[in-house]
Amino acid sequence: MRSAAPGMDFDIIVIGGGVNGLVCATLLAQAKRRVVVLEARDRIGGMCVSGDISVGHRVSTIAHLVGPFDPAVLKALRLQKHGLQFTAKKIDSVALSPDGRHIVLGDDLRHTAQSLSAHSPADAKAWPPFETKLRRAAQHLHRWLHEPPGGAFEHSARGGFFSGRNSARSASGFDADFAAALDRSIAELLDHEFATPLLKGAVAFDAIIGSALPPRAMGTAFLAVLRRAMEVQNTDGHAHPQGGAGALIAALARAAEAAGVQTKINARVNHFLFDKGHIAGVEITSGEAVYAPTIVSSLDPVTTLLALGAERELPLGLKRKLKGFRHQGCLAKVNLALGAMPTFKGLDKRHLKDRLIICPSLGHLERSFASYEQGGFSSDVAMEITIPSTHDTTLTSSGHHVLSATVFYLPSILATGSWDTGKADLVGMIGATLRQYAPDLPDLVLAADVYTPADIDVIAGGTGGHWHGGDLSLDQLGPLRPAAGLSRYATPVAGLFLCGAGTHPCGGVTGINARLGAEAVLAHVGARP
Amino acid sequence: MTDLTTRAQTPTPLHARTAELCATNSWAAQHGFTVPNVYSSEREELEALASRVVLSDLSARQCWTFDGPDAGIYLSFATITDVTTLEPGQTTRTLWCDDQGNARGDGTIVRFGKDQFELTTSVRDFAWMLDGTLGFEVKVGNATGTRAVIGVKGRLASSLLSVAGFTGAPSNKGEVVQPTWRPAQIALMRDATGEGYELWTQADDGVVVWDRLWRSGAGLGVSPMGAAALEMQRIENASPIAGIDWWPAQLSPDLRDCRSPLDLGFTPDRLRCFNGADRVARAVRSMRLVQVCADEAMILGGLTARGAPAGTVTSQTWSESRSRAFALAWIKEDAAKPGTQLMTSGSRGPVRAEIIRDAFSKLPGLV
Amino acid sequence: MAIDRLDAIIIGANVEGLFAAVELARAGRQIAVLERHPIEAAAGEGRDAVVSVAAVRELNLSQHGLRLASAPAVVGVTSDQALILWPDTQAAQASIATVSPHDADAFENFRARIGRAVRSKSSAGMHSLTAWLLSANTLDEPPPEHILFRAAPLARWLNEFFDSEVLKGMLAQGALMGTAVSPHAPGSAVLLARQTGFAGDDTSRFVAGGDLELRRALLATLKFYNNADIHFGADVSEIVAEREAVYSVRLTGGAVFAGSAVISTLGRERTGDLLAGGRQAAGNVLPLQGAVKPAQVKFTVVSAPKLPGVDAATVASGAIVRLNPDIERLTRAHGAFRAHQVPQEPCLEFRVIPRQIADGIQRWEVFVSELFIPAETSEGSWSGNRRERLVAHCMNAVEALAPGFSASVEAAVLSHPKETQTVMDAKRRGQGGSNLQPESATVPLAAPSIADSILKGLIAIDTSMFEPAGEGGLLAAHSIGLNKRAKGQADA
Repeated sequence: MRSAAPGMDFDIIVIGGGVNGLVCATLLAQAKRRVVVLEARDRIGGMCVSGDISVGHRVSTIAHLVGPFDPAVLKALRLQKHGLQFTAKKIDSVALSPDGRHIVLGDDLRHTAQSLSAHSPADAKAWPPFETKLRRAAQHLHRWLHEPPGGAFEHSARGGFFSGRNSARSASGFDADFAAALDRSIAELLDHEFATPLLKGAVAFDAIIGSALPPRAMGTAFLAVLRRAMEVQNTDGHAHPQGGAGALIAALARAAEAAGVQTKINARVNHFLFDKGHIAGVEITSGEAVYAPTIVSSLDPVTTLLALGAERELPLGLKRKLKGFRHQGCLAKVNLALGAMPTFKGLDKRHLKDRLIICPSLGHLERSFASYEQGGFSSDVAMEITIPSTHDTTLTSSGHHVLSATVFYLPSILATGSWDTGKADLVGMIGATLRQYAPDLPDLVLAADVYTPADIDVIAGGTGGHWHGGDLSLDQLGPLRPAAGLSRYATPVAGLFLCGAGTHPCGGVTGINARLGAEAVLAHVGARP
Repeated sequence: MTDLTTRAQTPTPLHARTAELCATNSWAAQHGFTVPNVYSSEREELEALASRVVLSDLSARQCWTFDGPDAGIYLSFATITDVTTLEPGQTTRTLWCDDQGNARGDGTIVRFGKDQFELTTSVRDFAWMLDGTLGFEVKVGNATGTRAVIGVKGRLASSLLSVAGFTGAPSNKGEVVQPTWRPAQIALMRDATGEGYELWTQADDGVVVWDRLWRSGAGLGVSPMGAAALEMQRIENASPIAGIDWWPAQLSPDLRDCRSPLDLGFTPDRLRCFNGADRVARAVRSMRLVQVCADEAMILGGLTARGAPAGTVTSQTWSESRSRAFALAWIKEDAAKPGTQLMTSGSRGPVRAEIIRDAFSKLPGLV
Repeated sequence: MAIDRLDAIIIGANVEGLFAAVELARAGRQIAVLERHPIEAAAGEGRDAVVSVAAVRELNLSQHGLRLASAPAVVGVTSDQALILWPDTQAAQASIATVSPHDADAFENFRARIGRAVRSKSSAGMHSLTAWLLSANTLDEPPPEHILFRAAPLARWLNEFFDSEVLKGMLAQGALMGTAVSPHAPGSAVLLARQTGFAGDDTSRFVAGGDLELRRALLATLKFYNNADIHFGADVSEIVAEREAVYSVRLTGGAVFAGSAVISTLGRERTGDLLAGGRQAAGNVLPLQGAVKPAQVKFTVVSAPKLPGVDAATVASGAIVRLNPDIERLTRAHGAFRAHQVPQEPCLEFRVIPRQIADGIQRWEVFVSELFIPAETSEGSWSGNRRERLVAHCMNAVEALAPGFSASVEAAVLSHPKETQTVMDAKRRGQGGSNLQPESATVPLAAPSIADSILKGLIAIDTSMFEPAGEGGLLAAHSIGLNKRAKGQADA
């Protein structure tokens, strides 16, 4: 039985039992540290949780697609051994058109071009070189994505978690002109190349989704490359775990346990404990103290550093700077229990397992953002839909289905009225929108669940509920994420580290942040205990 | 179209008296206030300082109050001085840095009570001080303009204070005495140079205290001294001022012009943790602020040593009484020894100057 | 008239056209300016003109009679607060201190930081932010000053320095006036440097004598170049594009000018009408995007507006008065603008200029500018009763804070950003002042097909659109390209 240092209960406390927290804890435990995960809520998982819309209809409550996973993390955790199974991998995206001329956006460039030719032969021709250019740029990002800003930790350079399977050129090989183009907006990039509104709407949607940025915002072109860079790292791409996102957590929990990680639920951290300026542990809700000389927080950086008593140890100028980190969620989640499979006009059955995007044009996205800016929402909501019951039979009984949709650009607080009444309006609007694509859908709805950005915040543990842990705008990426000086996972507070989505590179269920956070810790405390 | 430039005409609490005495009606804008620049003439005022006693209006300064159980702890982190070791009634000069270890401002901290401190400075950095308090149990207030500060300087300064009834004047630079004197509450301390005194009181009582001093000093030949004479005196005394002799980091037009506490005469205590300490520990002193003197008035500008550029003059004055020109200048570390000969410019051509001493005296209370 | 091919023909001797002309003449191009009106007619309504200080300096306009007005005070007014940013920093700080001592001290720091960021930006050149993010290989030092300036939203910068919502709103509104950008748009922080009348650090200023003085100065400047000719009474009847980069401009009198490039200040529609080949060819016209001139209503009043809490003399002498400035209000208004709607909560400012006494009555002109008014709304374009409604909307907003205003109004004239607002292509030279790199105008874009077929060298701009004045002309001049060998020499 390993024991922690004298006087200490554990070597490392990980705050937050979501994906990043669990992954980080497991990796550190595998490095022979005594680790405990403290979760505030009564269940681990954070944004990855499966729940029932109604009896017999199970769905991923919030995050509904996982990955693309960091391959080093997958290898280390061996989740398959712990029961993780995917019912669908490398999920493609399909941009839905009300008239049935859907555009497939996936790995196969020819397939996309083919679906585009129904809209514009010119665009069909222009797509392969455009997408290839983006993917090549994404290859350049590979290393950047997997290393902390400023370069690998010394420890890992000698063989840490980083798999080293680095087929990419370094980021400095990036074409300068192209880099300048990436500063601009995704709308400009797309308008320059294409005419088809649906194509542009969907590609822009994919790039931006999660951040409160309109398609003409500066830096959104970079996000398109960032998204592809994520996909480059793992050919399994976006995937659905059998049983929903909660199953991923279950597997992670088993892996964590196998590595020796202890987990406490209902253990919200009230504040940090210090010993002569160095972290010494935490006090949790029960009033109990848990002692450890190292703490890794998967909570958002603002809460971690400004709300738990660490403020006193921070450089003075950082406090106000950090408050400017934008991490207010703007996505809502709508889950529908359906009595039968809806018929999407003109959609080939094999695409029902794919990720369906409803975003008819850039203008649509603009209008949606305009409503968001005014503190409301309109019928121009943009959506990403999955119907996981097509491939995951554990979710509901035969014949029934569940539909899981993220709805984009919704304000956390409405300018007029409240979400209590707003939710019904939202569901109505979504129903009306869906009817345009699948006329029979609204009549098939047996039950509906709506999670507003504020609801997601609560479910995720009360730290903003942002899909990416913080907007992916140029002033909050890379060396500036979450703030200059904080981008290498260590904080100015001795013994306190970050590993959540608010760190480099971004959010999503990938495990990269957790791995880099773990590496930062080990670089600090030493590779061997 | 009319010109809309409007000067801040904030008078100090002593304005009623100083205005009456300001025969030349020459005023200076100082840190947001208007103070008399010259009462009669700089020469007369400096002469009075040398031979008798002068009163000056020093109210034009920022004054911030820190109250609360963490007041001392906060100030000890925010500034480079450990003020928790101060007893109530003690003062110390201090300096504070930004996160990168560049100096933002300097001033004086007075401890009035266990949980009560005041910091006075010429640098308007209240926002920084206030924003940094997140996490500390301390309330920071801006008392600027609510204090009247009267400087009493000169050969007969201590006599004046005795005659006026302010007994128990502090002998020691770091001491504050609060003589009981009705109706006003007064804090009496040595000024930054250690040679004169400062009386602090509430704004409303300023005039009362001034009157007391003035009446008592009639027999000693008390007279007022304005900002211009003060400026000349400080250069002669090699007392630098933020904003003139060095750029506070937050206002510096170029980040390369920022100064570390080392440049400003501070030797870091490696055991103490204060804002920016780790950078300060790595800082290397490359420039030194020194006082130079010459036979002719120098102009603000570059200096050379043995033909090569060596530094810049930041303040200068001509001393009539000593028939010499004095200036404060930044000189490269390797050319900054007292006695070094430099060349600079005067109004009629090159001027030879010599380094006399370092501009910063050791900050009291520090290692 | 000369049939030799000119380098450029400029149609319209208005402010934009003249800026283009002077800039091209300065670069040694052989140019001709064609102005329909005879020389005696004053082109310009005696309105305010705002110019870029840098442009004035480079074109040497002060030598030819241009006077820049001293920076006006900027006043922020709400129902219970009035904050005055005087041009003098100490005075501004004293005023801010009445609302927030914290912000008074932060103000100077804010300006210093912007100054550093602007200088850092010009010395660093326009390197890509993305490239920096990807290659930053030393994290010991804080990032270069200009990185955050160019990447962050201006709301973030303002929140970092200030607590007072009114102060933040005033500074945000000043930065955004004349743009189509939201305060939360990434990259909008650079706009903080362009405030008109921003105490001390301004990059654009009012012209003392308004647009008439500006035009006179430009004409005087142009006279000094022997490679520039200006023809009055020259009415263009047709523009013929013979082939790429070869144009002939025909006048009603029959004269023909031939040139490699044409800059038309008549606007896209009118230029399209003149183009041989008609409207079809209009789709090929290289359009330009500049700032969006805010909707402006000029009220003629018999008594200057009285704002409680603000000295009447300050208001009456040209201070910029911002009503209910607030960042979130600006954000919501921007959302409405983005959705092609008129914002419900107007974001307004006004300036009062005294006019000469006539019929024994002192009159003033109150120029009210409203931010984020879309050129075309979802309800249709601006005409007739919709224009009246906008005028009433402005008037009521001022009345709410300055009671008695409506009663004092004698006349009101609306000028409105016209419809043509199109995609930018021109590579800007990295000037301070009007860097519009942030979010381009989203509303209302002309047909996206512009990107494809462009006639090289034919540029149409709409003169009502640009602020500061002359920006359109300068952009046009640069689009033509100043890289060729200089031909003529300037006399001045």
